Amino acid sequence: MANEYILRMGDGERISMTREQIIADLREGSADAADLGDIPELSGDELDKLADIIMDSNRIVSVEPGMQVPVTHDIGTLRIDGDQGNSGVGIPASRLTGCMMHERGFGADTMELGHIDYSFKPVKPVIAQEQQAMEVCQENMTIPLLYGAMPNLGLYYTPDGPFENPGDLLKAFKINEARESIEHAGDHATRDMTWIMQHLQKVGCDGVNFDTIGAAGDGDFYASLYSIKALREEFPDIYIEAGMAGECTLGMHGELEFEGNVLAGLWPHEQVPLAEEAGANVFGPVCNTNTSKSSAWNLARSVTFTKATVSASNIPCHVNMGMGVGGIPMFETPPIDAVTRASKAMVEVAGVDGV
Amino acid sequence: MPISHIMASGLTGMRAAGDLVARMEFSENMRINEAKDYVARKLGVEAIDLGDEYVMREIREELDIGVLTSVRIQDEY
Repeated sequence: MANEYILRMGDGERISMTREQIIADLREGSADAADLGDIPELSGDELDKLADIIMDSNRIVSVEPGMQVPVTHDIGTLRIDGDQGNSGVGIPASRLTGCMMHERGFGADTMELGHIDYSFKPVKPVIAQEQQAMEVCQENMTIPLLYGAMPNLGLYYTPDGPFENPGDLLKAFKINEARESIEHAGDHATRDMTWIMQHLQKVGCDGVNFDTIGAAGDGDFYASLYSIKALREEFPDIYIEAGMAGECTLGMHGELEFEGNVLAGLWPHEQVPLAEEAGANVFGPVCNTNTSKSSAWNLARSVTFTKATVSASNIPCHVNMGMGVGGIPMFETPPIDAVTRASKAMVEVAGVDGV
Repeated sequence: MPISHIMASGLTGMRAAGDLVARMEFSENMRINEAKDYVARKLGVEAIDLGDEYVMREIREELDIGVLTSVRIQDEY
């Protein structure tokens, strides 16, 4: 054990590895991202820097003074009062209290208000409630406050929505019908997301975080991009963050386009130009965690994808670093040693503009 | 976990100047170094001061742009 270092598997389990094993995993993880995305591998110096971060003898690490970046959020206040098998901890508190706790107690750079379901569609019937909550929160906050929600195209399909489930249609080889269903759902989601944000803008909302874009495939991405475009045209000053759900846009439809660009199969560095063209201010690239690989492999892979995205972008990139993405173990309470190492690596090696 | 990120790499919001840098990223699409340089120039400090609670507390009080705890009662009271 004397020559071994403690790190994590992708599911959070504590393991120990030698320096040689760590460096081999770093190289392999970076090479995997480079191969998939057709992007450069990390250089020898960058891999050495990652190795130093991972092998730091302290449990918690941090960026060097002066390297700090703003932090944005996923689910926002719901991590305080939510408790439905997500990452909420079930503390009885209003959403205003949650916002103020983050601003004044936790040192958050920005904050986010969201509906308990955290999807756009269920917000429609309670829009007046959301307007009231947003207005009160904005009046009590100084830091930027976004409205966060998921496009979640899945809610538009049976049994939860009006359109036939494309998964069922594809299983029956009804390809054209599946595509039509995705197109209908996409158009409805675009309309709904835009409508919701139009109403929240009426009460002085700073902006919006489209969170987990693409979770239901290219139709999800399509709907989000066109909603972003519509909002940017109507509200030139609205803050818009476009955060992705996964590293590769799944081609559930396969032929959907945004401004002439096919959306299926895009990797983070190919997604960001579209978010920028649509009108987003901040992009959230994602790299998924492989639970069967070490944190060295996962972190090198994530940093490789993210560095390429930062390089391809003209807008700030706030890398997604929640449970199961960005080199973070896929675990509801991810070990702090792994979280802080990933955080430092993304800032100091990938060069992100925020987390 | 978000607190871990804030402690490891965050600008710590109104404790320092995190909200100001974030606003420049969102309102002007500024990348991190451009946003920090812009805010630092406006405040008359170095970029490294933007994450320094000691420096930013006094500046925030002077400019009346929000601090996290009560501002002390002035001498006349």
